Amino acid sequence: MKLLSRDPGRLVFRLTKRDHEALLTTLRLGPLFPRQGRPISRDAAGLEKLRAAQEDLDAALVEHRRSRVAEVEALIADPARCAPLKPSGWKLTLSTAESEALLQLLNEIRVGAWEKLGAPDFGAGERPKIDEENLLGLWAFQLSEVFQGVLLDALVGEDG
Amino acid sequence: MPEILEPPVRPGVVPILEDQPKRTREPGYLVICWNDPVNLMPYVTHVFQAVFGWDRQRAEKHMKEVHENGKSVLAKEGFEKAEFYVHELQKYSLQATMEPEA
Repeated sequence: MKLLSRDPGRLVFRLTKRDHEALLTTLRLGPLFPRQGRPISRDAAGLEKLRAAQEDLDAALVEHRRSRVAEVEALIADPARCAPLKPSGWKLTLSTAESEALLQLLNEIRVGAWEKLGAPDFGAGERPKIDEENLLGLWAFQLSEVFQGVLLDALVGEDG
Repeated sequence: MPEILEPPVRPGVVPILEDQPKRTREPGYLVICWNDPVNLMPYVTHVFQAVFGWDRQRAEKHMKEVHENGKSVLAKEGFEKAEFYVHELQKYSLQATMEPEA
């Protein structure tokens, strides 16, 4: 996946056939990697006000992920946004906000896959076991990172 | 009956927070981002820019604090604003929490 062109608020990417398949597969794998509990507070989670806020956060994050998935699926399925190129490949046209949505969703999948792999600290040399159970997680983790890198580079350009 | 005097505030002048008695202030909450071994440094910088509208330099300073010190205090706000920021940061899968100010 490569940035083809950039107008203010509009990013156009070129995907090879393999990029396109990998992106769709990564997105389809998302439901396999639900996120684990995310505390709203570490030191004061017992406070009544924060207990209620935790429930609000949990509900908001579930709804956010649901709407992000729906938004991105609609974009990928929209021929005006994701169109085949001749002789091969795909052109993906996104607004800045849509690029953010895709970036968020890919990171959600990446972090979910990392949690499923046992939350290894790669920087400290920890490595998950490469077996059948972990294979899809490793794949989703790596692929999400590749697509995130392209989106981040493009969005940094948008920041000026 | 004693006459009730209006406080000596000129029209159009908003009293600053420091002039108010402490008991009237809403308790502050610190919005903290914690280090984790998964989120990429450029990603964290980007999220700080997107959520807080910071320039790159300020966002990178906080990202480095997270990476080197294990956490960074990103904001000090009232309950609702702090909660809003935690929601936004967690939507990006960052480990962000709100902690009552000591």
